[in-house]
Amino acid sequence: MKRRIFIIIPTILILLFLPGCWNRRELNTLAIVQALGVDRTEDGEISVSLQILKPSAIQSSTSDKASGSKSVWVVTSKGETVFDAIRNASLQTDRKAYFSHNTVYVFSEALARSGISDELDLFSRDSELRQLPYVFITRGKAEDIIRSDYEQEKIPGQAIEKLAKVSFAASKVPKIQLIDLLKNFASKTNDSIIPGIELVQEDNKEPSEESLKLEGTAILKRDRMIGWFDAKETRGVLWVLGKVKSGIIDIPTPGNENKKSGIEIIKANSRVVPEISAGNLFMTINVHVDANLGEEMGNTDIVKPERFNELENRMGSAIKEEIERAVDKAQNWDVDIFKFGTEVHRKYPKEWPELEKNWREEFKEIQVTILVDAKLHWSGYLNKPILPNTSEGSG
Amino acid sequence: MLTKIIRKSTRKKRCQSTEILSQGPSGIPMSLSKKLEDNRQAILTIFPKADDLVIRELTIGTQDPVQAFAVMIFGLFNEDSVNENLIKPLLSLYDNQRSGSPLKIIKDSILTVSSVQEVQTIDDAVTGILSGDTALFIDGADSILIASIRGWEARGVEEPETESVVRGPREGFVESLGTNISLIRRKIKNPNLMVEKVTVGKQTKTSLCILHIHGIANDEIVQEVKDRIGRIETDSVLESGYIESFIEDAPYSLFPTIGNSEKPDIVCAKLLEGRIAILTDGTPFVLTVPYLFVEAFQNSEDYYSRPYLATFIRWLRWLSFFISTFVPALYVAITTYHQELLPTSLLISIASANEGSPFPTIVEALLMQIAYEILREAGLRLPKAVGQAVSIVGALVIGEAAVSAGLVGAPMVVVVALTGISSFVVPALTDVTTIARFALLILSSFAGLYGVMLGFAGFVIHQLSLRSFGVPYMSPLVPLSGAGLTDVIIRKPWWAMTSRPPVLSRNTTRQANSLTPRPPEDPGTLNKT
Amino acid sequence: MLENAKITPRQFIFVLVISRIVIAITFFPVFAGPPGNQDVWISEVLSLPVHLLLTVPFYLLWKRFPKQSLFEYTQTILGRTGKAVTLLYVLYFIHELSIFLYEWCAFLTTAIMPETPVLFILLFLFPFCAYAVLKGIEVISRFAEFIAPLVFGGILVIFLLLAKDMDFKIFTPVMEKSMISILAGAFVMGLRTSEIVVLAILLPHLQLNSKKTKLVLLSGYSLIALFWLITTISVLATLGIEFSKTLQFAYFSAVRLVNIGDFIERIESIHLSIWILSGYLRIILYFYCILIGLSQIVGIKDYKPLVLATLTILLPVSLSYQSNISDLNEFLSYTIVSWVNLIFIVVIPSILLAVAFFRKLGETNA
Repeated sequence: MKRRIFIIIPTILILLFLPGCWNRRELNTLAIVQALGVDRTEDGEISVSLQILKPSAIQSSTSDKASGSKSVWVVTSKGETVFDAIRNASLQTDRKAYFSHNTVYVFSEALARSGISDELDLFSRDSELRQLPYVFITRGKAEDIIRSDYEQEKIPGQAIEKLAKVSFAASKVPKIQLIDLLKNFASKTNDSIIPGIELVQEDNKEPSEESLKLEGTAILKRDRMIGWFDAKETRGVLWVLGKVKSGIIDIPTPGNENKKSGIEIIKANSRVVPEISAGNLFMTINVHVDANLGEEMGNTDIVKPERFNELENRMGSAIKEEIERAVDKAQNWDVDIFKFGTEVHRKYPKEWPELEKNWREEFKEIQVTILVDAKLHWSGYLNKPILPNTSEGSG
Repeated sequence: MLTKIIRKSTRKKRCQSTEILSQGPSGIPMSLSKKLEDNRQAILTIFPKADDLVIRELTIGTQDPVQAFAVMIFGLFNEDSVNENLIKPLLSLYDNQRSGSPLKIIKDSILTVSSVQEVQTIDDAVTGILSGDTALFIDGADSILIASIRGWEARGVEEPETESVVRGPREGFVESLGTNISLIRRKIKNPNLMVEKVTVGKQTKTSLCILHIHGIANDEIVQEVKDRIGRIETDSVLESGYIESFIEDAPYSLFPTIGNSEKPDIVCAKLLEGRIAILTDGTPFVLTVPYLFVEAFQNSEDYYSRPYLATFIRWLRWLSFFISTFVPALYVAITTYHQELLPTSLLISIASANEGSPFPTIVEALLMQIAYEILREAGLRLPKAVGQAVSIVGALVIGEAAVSAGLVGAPMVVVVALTGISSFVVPALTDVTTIARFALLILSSFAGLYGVMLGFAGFVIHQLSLRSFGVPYMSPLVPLSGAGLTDVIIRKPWWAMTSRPPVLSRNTTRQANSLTPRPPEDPGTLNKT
Repeated sequence: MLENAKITPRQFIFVLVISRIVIAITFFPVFAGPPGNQDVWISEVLSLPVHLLLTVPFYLLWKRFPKQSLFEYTQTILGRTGKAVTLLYVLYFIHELSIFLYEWCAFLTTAIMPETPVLFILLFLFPFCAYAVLKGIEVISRFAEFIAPLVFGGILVIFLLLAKDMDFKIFTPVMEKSMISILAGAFVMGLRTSEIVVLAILLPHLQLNSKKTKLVLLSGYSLIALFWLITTISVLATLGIEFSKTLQFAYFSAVRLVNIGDFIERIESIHLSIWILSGYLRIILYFYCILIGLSQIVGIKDYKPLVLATLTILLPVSLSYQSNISDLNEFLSYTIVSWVNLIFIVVIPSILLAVAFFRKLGETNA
């Protein structure tokens, strides 16, 4: 009896292993997708563009950029749902599309205006598609962005990802990952912002040489896009969200009003304090900014106490103005992109259920006070201008 | 029916073979006779054809001379010593004025040999002769004198090749049991070091010595060792490995439960911790029992150098063990099943390197591993002169050419090289890592990470169920013993090692607690410049 | 069937804790019951006293019969009908094990191996389970001790790596719902702990006096609460309350978010490894309990011959549980599970205790 067991069980096991392994995929059967774009066609179908890597064209150590052969290629396919479109792409690719290393999603404005959450369902549900890639909206067609080339990187998809990461330097465009969008959607009152990406043509280059540029911010009401914020307005939003990490504020130089000084932001954080009194909702936005003098165009002797203080004040008012513009516009459009709702919920949990029901109305009525505490610290290597102005005397 | 017949016939044959040995080749029982000539005939009959047998006839004494003959085997006895200390005194110093039988006089007063014994049967005399002793048959005597004057060509004490150190003694055991015991005795000068001699093996009659320190070692384990050795009934014992396979706890297991070493200082250190050593005549490899898994990661050199580097190297050993066992399986699992677990740039590098490769990854991995094992085994057997050429050929062929020809991807070569090198860091577990590596590789090809983890769990369960002579194999990791763990994860300096491992010995106090070395209160007193 | 195995207190704690927290790192069912908002962490802290309370019936039974496991004292107390109760518990364990195997397959197929059929996953698993169980409870507990540093370390490492993405403000406002709701949540969480029944089977192997046993139980439950807390914070602080509710495998989704300096990313492999090891421990633990119970019913001294038979029963049973995920979610919601567990953890042992008390069975002085 024992011997029979020793024969039967291994036989069963071996038989199990014979048909092959279901999930094994060799690397050279995968089409590694680096960027994914979603458009809507005229007949209402979904059109998906995939930027697929060509590993053979990539030599790891000898990176010869001018070798000519492109290291990616683009596949476009249509379908009734996003998943359908993606699978239809397999009719064109000789390898199965593999999304786990995708870092970029691009949606067209046309698609976004009619609501983006439908398309995003696949991206959250499927195990291959991750939630860390960066999301962008483009004014034209997403396909164009996916097809574009990029000077600095071999793989344009990676270039777009790096563009997003470096956007903090100017803080004029937000950095949004899919997970941020999903979190906002799950909350009932928050609205989302998504950076915009465009193909621009430099003036003195060939028409065929376009390059990618991040420009503007798309504002979504729930999941529908309703408009764009420009650079300064975006920064206003980012001030409130506490997401400004760096950037330059230019203000007229005190003492030489025609010229501008550039103030470099080092650190900024914000606190939003709601208050309910007499049935009205008040919101105080406290922003604290640390900055340095980065640039002073005009050769003004500016590193003097009165001038410095003046700079500080002007900086404060410039920031306040940016925030005000953003808040006004947002209230006009009735989009709570500042997460005010969450703050009110935190502080007034009892009143919140009522307020939540009419949040759209409430949001419009909020009276916002902006307090900016700006501090200017260092002035770099110079404490006098390079070309001292003789009429100013010694400083 | 058929089996019964077969069994009956083999039983007869088996009995016959055992019977022959105890009776001499012609089947005639041999007992000692008072007549010298009978004994001589007996000897010549027991050794049917032994041209290296030397029989030296002696006439002892001038008045009433006594006939005797000495039997020894050429090459096994020390010629000069036999001449000086046995034959010369017999021929010149015999004086039958003394009282007692000739045998007694010879034994007590004439032979200038340090070890003389009396045996009663010819069998025992033959055993002694075969071991190198000189047997003296005296006419009219009722026992035979055995003088232990052995001497043969043997290897000198030199550094063992398998365990070389940078710092530490370079003595290694040799093939001779007596020399080996002397090497240990010179290090442990404790009368409680018990040395018990046992003979095993019907044809080889190999001598074993079981050593332990009474008072430190656990008496029950000692008794168990003796019982198990006593149960061995086999033809030959040529190496300690034979003994190992007869007495180990888990003969079917992949893991060794008995340790071995070629160096006296290692064996003495283990004896002092409470272990038992088994020395086998004919081999320099001494067995130590009980053996724990963590011992494979401890090297004698750790203890002679300062603790920081030793601790770091210890971690490195653990890391190497895991690398050499798991890396091929993990590589196959991740690149074929779970590509999402690789960072993108790594994935791109591997993908571009594997682009043109004709084999699926698992086949590549198996081929390369087998090629590596062939290389390694060949390298062991090569004469030194050819060794250089082969290593170049191996590196060139397997490494460069296979990659350039597109047969194998470059990452695969890196993986194989890494596992190969890491497997040498922990030499005691080489067979474990090799087999485990292949098993895990096969499992990973079927079920990816799931297979690897379950395989790992299976191995761990197996290891956890092992005991080495009663001691759980995975102590001090599991069951967790803090005191034992200090010698595994880190290496405590000697002044801090105040106790012996409790699993091995009940006598745990080794030294006092306050031995931290420190300079005198006022360091200036030492340096009076 | 008291094999002469001895479990050290540490091993005992680790067995229970790891078996419980593997559920936390798979399905993360904290939102399945009240209060369902950011106050779940309070419920988790309160689950400690709840666990202690729920253990009381079994603890008192153990004090009366210190050398007998659950399956043995049912017979001592109730005679022949005790076998029926034993059978009931065996069925309970088979049920729990099948549910967990279902979760096991669900997670594996969704997260890493989508096309692999469930049959293969289970068949591949069974030889390893059989091997472990044949080695006995001592080896199983040692295995728990062995993987404990890996599991705990892994969870802590993941917690630390997620720290930069955490936003603790989501735990405000505190106590949004009433204390009653939070307490109810604590009860629901406590009632999910079917390990309390496993405890009843393993306690006789512990061989400690009652004071030390209480300490062991206390530390075990504290560790459970602690790790529940750590996993909850890891998930909620990074994903937010609302979003976590939408996720099927919340902890795994949180782990996928780890990204430090673009270098330490994609660490799901850590999570997968510790999850497979802990889940394996839970499976062999429950399997062992089933075997012990069955051998008690059948009346044989050694459970080893039953291994193959039990596997052949388990396979079709767990396969039959494999309907679709919506059924599973429905079943695991707090209403059904709480009542079922209540019966087995509290009601039946209380009845046994009462009968033992009235019939004056067992040792009355601990």
